[in-house]
Formats: sequence, structure tokens, C-alpha cells
Amino acid sequence: MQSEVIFSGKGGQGLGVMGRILALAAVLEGKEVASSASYGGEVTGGLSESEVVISDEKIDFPAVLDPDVLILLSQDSYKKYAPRVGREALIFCDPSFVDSRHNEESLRVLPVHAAEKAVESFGRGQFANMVMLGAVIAATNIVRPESIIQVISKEFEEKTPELNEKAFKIGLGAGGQASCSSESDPADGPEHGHHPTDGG
Amino acid sequence: MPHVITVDHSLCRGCNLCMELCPKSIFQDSADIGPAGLKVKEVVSPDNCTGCGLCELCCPGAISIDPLPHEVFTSICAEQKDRLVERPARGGWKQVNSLLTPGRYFMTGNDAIVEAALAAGCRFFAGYPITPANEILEEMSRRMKGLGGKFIQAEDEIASVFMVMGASWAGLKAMTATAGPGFALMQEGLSLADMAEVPCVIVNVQRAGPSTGQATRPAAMDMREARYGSHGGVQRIVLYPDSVQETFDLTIESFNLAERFRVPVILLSDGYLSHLSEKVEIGERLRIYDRVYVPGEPAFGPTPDSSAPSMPRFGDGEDLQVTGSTHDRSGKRSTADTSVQENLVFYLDRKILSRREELLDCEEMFLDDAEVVVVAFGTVGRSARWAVKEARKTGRAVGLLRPRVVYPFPSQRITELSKSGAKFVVPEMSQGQMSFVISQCITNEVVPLPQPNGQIIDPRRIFRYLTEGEW
Repeated sequence: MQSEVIFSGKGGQGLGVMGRILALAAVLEGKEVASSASYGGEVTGGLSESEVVISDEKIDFPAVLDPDVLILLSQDSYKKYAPRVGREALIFCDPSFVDSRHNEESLRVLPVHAAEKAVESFGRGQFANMVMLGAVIAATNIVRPESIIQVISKEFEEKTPELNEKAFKIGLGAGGQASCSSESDPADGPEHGHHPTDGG
Repeated sequence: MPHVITVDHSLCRGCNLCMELCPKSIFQDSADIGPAGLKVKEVVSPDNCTGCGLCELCCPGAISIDPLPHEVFTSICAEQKDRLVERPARGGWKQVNSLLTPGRYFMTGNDAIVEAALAAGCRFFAGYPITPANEILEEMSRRMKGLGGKFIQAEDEIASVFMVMGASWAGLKAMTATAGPGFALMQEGLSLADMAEVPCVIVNVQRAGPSTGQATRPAAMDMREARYGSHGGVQRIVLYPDSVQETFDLTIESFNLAERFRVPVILLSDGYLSHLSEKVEIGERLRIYDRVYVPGEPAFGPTPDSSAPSMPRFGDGEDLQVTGSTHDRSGKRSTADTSVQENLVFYLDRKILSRREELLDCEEMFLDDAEVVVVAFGTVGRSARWAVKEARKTGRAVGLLRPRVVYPFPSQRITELSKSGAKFVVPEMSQGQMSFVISQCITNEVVPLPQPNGQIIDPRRIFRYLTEGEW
């Protein structure tokens, strides 16, 4: 089994951190992992990407070829990847940054209001990336949530592990709902697909 | 030490220049007042004098340095020789404990270089920041001090490589890390390292050029520069790993080879591999080689069996000179003698070429019945391995050869493989550099698959070539 995940957005959104946490959690579970990050010349605000390949076997080619999961946090990233993938890929995006409505029939898009939820719970958007990661893990099960929590407590040891963990758990809840609503109501219309997490 | 320093008190103006300049502080104020009304200077510790001559050069006329009388000089030399004989030889293979707790780590290619270098005993790093090699410099600046080593951010890459050589002669394992433009600046220094047989490791994290090109993007455009960039063009040892684990292993290997052969070893990486994070298994013990020093042995080649000569460090008391000019076995310049020059140059090549069998290190896959041999170096090897495996699944007789040691070039292995009449295919993150090196070894068809666009090669592109012949 091989999962190929792309995190793409703007510099400063914490994409590198999300990629790293996911990769470390997979390493913790004994899987083979290759992860790389790329960024433009200007870091904050420029296109920033991180990709993670997780496999049970040795990884021949370490970069993503056919992404299974995409986390797209800017309209530019969405424009870049949406035309390249089909319905076999799962796209997570934050409606605060990405307008995905016109493409929903040809794609599987799960909107997660990560930034809104982060502001709601913490008063600022800082932990939006962990909320998003929680939603991704809940909907895909690439790694176990416990592994992520273990990595968070170690990686953010000198920062704020408890807030990051809280954000991740909020995301877990939201992601569960997002995935349910998407399955029961597969891209029926823009309104349906667009607000599955509003109640949470 | 062998110098007599005199201060003529009738001329000393008491200006203090000598006290400020002397690196060994051998001058101080005396009680006498000189003609200028200031205290004249006197010599307090003449034994510390290195004979550098700074005082004599800057003094307005009062100081003179003279070599010791001949008898005194020879008696000191004899005394030193006696002491040399008592000094033990050192160096060779040894087992050391790994610096990191043994286990599984997840790190980038650049971090792996730092960890491996420190584990191999590197205790001097000089460098100048350049993308995509920056993290090596950053991490070295954090780690070196705690290990008792020295880190210097130099004013440029030229200074870096010369500092590395100085540190190496002072007895430390030393390295620097750079990218294409910086590597070009280092070429003059590397040529000196070839000539003066200075062990050191130079990491070149290749990026898309020419010049500043695409600074953040990967390429393999310095493959030939690594071998042929310096004037003089003697043989080089060049390694290029394809994964983070291999980066760790080959960094240790680079230090071992540099110390064993007394040559600069070039470790290639690229903008992708340097930032790729992968799992690295670190064992408990490492096998490390330290340069050999035998007291009294000549410090330079040509040695009778073309092996590396004994290498003292500054302060060992050996009588030698380190120079980039043609020299004899004690290092004494000999720039007019044709045979000394020729023997020295042939020896520098032979030092590496006579051990090329031992230096051969290739990953080989499906080569027994291969009609098409894909030859790939470093990161491109990852794309090639994927493509070759997929092409095998469709029944194509393709194989992979990936030299980890790029130079000395494994021409013998390529020649052996060519006997079956196989076609050679060479995908490269450049306009095609190594394909020419391969076509020089054999008469078989050699197809370059160049991609100088600053991206790693999509393995599906190689696969398409292998199955449909399209590039």
C-alpha cells in the first residue's frame, strides 16, 4: 500500500510542518517514508509545497506521481492541481482561501473550515494547519491519530504541544463529519458540498 | 625558534608597534627611557619566536632578526630528530561509537551529511552560505562547538576551501559545502589540494545552472566539473548518493577515502536530495580511517607503491614545506626539473587509478540479460530504478547500472556490459554530460536523455522512452 500526499498553499500556512508531522507519524508506525518540501524565492506568501510518500515497501521514486490526497490551501494551488487529478484523488481545501465550487462534479473535494475553526477556538488562525491535518487523518486514516498526537507532543515540546493537540482533535471531529457528509451526498450541488462542517 | 632578535636601544622610539604585532608577545617595555622619551622595548621570550619577521618589517629600524649561528641551528635540528624517533606513529583504521544514539532517524539529505561528517571525525568546517547547501553550514555552526571543533563562516568560497586545507594540515578532518557557483570558485584551491595531497571533503549540492540559474532547483550539471574543473586535471574521487541513507553512508566513506588517499574527495548531492527527508538507520559502531603519520617519513609522493605518503601535522616537528609548486618528497620546490614534475603528476593519477578496482561501487539491477542498460547517477537513479522495474513488468530486457563512485569512472564495468551489444541509455538532470563519458569507453549505441529544466526526472518519462522510444 502506498499513499501519496501533497500539501500546497502559500508560505506561512504551516504546510511544511503538516508534512513533517504526517511523515514522522508514519515513520513511528514503521513505514517507509519520503518527504520533500519546496518553496519559491520569497518564502512567506509565495507558493509553498510539501509532499509525503508513505509505503509499506522500500520507496523507489521518492516524489509524488499520482497524488491520493491533496491539501490545497490557496486558489493558486487549487488551480495548479485540480486539472491534474480525477475522482480517485481526495482534495481537502479550506473555503476561506479556495473557491472550489465550479469543479465539484469532476473531483472529490472535502471543504474543511480550518482557519475559521482555529479563530473560533484560539482567537487566531495560527493552528489552522493542525485542524486541517486532523480532518485529513479522520477522513483518510493514512496513519493512526494516536501516532500524530505522539509526534505533536515531541515535535512541539518547547512550543505549545497542548494547543496543537487540541487543534488536531478539533480537526479530527470536523474531518469525520466532512467525510460522512461527502459520502452520503456525493457532490450533489455546490451548496451541499460546501458547508458540511458549518455545524461543528 | 632558531633566531636571534636584537633591539637597538639607541634607535628604539618606543612606538609599541612590535608589541602589538608580535603574535607570540615576545616584546615588552624595559626600564630604560629611549631618545624619544618613551620606554624602549626588550625581548623577553626569544624561544617563542617563530621567525615570522613582522617586527623587523614594521619597526622603524631598531629591530633585526638573524638566524641562529649555524652550529646552534644544527644542534637544535639533531635534538629534534632524536625527539621525532621517540614519537609514535599514528593513524589507520579504527572503530568508533556513533555520535547519535543508534536507531532510526528521519532526516534530510543535508542533515545526514552533517551527522555523518561529525561521526567520521570532522572537526573543522568553513563555508559560505549558498542555496541549497545552507542547512549544512547552519547545522555545523550549531554542532561544531559542542564537539570541540571549529566552525568558520568565511568571506567567500575561495577562502573556505583554503581554510579547510589549513585545518587539514593542522591535523583535523575538515570539510566545506557549497553549490555550483561556489564550487567553481573553489577549483583553484582544489588544485592545490591535489598537488599538496591535502585530505578534505568538498560537498557540492548541485543546482540548476549555468551561473545562478535556478538557485532552489535541483540539477546534476557539475558532473564533469567535479572531475575536470581544476587546472592540472589529475584524477579525483567523486561520489554521488541517491537516498538520504546512502548520503549518510557515502559521507563517512568520503572522509575515509580522503584520509586514505590524501586527496580532496568530492561528495555530490543536489537540490532535491538535500531537502528530501527519509529514514536513516544509524548503527552502534562506525569504521573510520585516520591519516597515517610515521615520524621521519617523507610527507609527499611519489611513494614506491603509489600509496598515500605519511602525513604529519603542524607542530609535529617535521622539516617540510607545503607547496602547490612542483616539489620533491620533502616538499622542497623543484620547479625546473622535468622528471620530478612528470613523476609527480603520474604519481598523483596512479595513486587513485592503481586502486580503481577497489573503488568500484555500483548498484546493479537486472543486468544479466539486459539489452538496454540504463546508467544513472545520484537522484536520477531513483527515477531510473522505478522506470526499469516497471519496464521489466512489461517484459522489456532492461537493466540498471548506478555508480555510487562516479570517478574514477567505472569504465571497465561499462566495457564488460557492452560486450553483449547492449544499448546504453543515460537520463540526466543536465543537457547530457555523463553520456559522453560513457560513449568514450565503448562503441555501442549510447543515448543521452537530457533534462536540464531544474526538475527531477519524472520516472514515467524514462519508462515511456524504454517502452515507446519517445523522449
